[in-house]
Amino acid sequence: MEEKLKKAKDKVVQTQVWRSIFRQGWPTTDRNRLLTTINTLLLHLHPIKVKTHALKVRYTFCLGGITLFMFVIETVTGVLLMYYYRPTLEYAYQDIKDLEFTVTFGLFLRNMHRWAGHAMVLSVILHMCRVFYTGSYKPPREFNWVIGVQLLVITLLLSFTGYLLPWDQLSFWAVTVGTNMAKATPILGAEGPFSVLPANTDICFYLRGSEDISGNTLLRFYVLHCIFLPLVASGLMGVHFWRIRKDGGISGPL
Amino acid sequence: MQEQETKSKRTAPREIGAPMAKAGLEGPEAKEEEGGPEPGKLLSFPHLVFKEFIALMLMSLLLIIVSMVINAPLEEEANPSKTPNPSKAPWYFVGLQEMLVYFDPWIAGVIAPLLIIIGLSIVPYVDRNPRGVGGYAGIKQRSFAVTIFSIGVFAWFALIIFGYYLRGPAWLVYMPWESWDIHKPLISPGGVVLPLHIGGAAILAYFGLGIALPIIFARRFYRSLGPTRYFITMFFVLCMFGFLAKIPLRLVFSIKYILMTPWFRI
Amino acid sequence: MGLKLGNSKNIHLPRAAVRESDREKSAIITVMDFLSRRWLLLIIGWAGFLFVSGITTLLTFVDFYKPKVIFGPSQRFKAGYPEEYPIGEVSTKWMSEYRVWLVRTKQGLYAFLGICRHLGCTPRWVPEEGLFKCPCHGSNYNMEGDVVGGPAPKPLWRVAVSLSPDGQIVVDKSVKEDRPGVREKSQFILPV
Repeated sequence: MEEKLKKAKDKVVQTQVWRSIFRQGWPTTDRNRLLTTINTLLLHLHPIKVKTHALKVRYTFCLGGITLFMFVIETVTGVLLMYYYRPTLEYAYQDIKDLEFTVTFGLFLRNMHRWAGHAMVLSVILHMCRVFYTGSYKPPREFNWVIGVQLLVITLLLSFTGYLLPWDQLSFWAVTVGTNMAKATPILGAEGPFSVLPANTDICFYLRGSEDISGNTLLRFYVLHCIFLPLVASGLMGVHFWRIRKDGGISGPL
Repeated sequence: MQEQETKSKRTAPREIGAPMAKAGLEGPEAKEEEGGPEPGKLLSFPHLVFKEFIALMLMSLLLIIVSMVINAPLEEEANPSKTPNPSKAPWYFVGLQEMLVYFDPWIAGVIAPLLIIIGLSIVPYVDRNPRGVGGYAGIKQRSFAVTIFSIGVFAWFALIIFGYYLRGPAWLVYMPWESWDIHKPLISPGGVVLPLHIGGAAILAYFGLGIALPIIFARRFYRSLGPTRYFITMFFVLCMFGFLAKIPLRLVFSIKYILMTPWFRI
Repeated sequence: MGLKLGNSKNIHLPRAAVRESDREKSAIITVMDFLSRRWLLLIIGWAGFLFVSGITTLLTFVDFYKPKVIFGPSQRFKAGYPEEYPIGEVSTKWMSEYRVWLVRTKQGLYAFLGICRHLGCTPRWVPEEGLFKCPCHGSNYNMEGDVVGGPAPKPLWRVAVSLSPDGQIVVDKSVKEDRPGVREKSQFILPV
């Protein structure tokens, strides 16, 4: 019986289809493990070898990886939520209500999107602390730290733009207060020091698409949240991961 | 086992790794293309990949449990004519919202975040101390950088916790055990506004002395950075402490504005 | 195979920029090479082209992001007859619909915009204390609209009020004023 199973397995493994998908044999030898890392799209983000000390969980706490994972979860749940959400004044709130009460697992999806968002903000801040305390921003990794700071800002913006979308009292007033601060921007804001622009051309107006929070604001934040910021974040993440490899892998003792 | 190894050898010439090795890569990538054992290094697969997989599974589990137990908040539909009392920003911005008590919006909402972002970005360029890379043990060798960063992070989270848990209606201080129905006196409108010459002198003295004193008394620190890096570093460090110093100034001496000009107030 | 920097032969320059003898010796490029007229013109030309196209693109985007037409409720509305508003009281009748308070004193009738000047929350009118109180950060305004407490930097906006031919009050939210002295005059007060 065992013999038969083995033969059957070998037959499958030697078919053209199988071998066109998996370029190497089982990852039981060092050589095949190495090739698995190179040949698999997701795994090839990794270097083939890592410094032993970097494998200690206490060194990285896996925070960067967790942040990426949260971003992936946000993307998946976010796309699913988009099927049932319309960013207009009359529908936005109703759609969230419907999502909670009529859509299969809608409430669970929304919860997951919400909590993963908060978790991402937290893990990205903690990741920054880890990188600082291990001195990992030092040469040759200076520029990757700068990219990281930009990713931190984008993460906060992603979370903040998403905050308005349910169109409830919580989101409306948090965003009112938040965007009103833009009015106080020096020079560019209508009510800030040295202001030169009237209220209908200042930076807050551009942000909101009107003088008060309105349907325009909702649509703007929706586009920023679903398309623009995720694209920018993905691009920067690509550079961020690329630079880790190009700067000599994870930081190590000098 | 034996059989599989021979099989993998058979497929070897088709493998993608070969042309890359021929192309003669240089730099840190080059060494890792060679499969042989290296001291202090292990293969990513399985050592790193499996650990990542476990972290991923644990996070998924945690997230699924949290999402099943706690519902995302959803209040009444947005109503521009009725403001909930209090209305708080998302937690990561509550620290900035708390600073609104002590500063005008253009500082708390625009200048402070900008300075934080710029200050963080320039860290690798002003910190030229080569020690302390690769572990937490090395942080003793760069006490200045670690102290300043830690104070900043601590203040950021302390303000968030204070604003999130201890601020009630009208943004007044309510202890967790106090009911929000208790009527409390309002935040005092005025407080002291320093005259222009005193306020201006105070700010100039703060930055002037803050920059000058270390040059005189911590000569080695100044030399190790060099003038340009030193001035940039001290500017951001003094700004951070300046922001935090306004809190006791306001609470203890009820100073509303240190510097009041017709155009802006600090 | 690898790209070797630091060898000036590999740096691509217009032919005229590198003198014949220099190319032979692969000598260090001097400042004069860069400042040769043709090289300079090339730099200025490209810099100018990139600058102009960059600025126009930027301005186009800035203009794109500014909505030209905004759909919303009318900024003007009729608020009934002056007799409906007793002297010395603040009316919250139009608050939920238009975010406007109407105040009638002995001097006349005027209107406030229900937007806190600190960060745009909606204050509440508390008749017992005679104050407009903002829930967000504790700003307080008196019946004149002046700040008496909290962090608000400026007094409440007053908006234009007038009488229509049929005797009704017309409030126009698009005309705003907050300067003492100006806000108590002409279109911002209805002497009734």
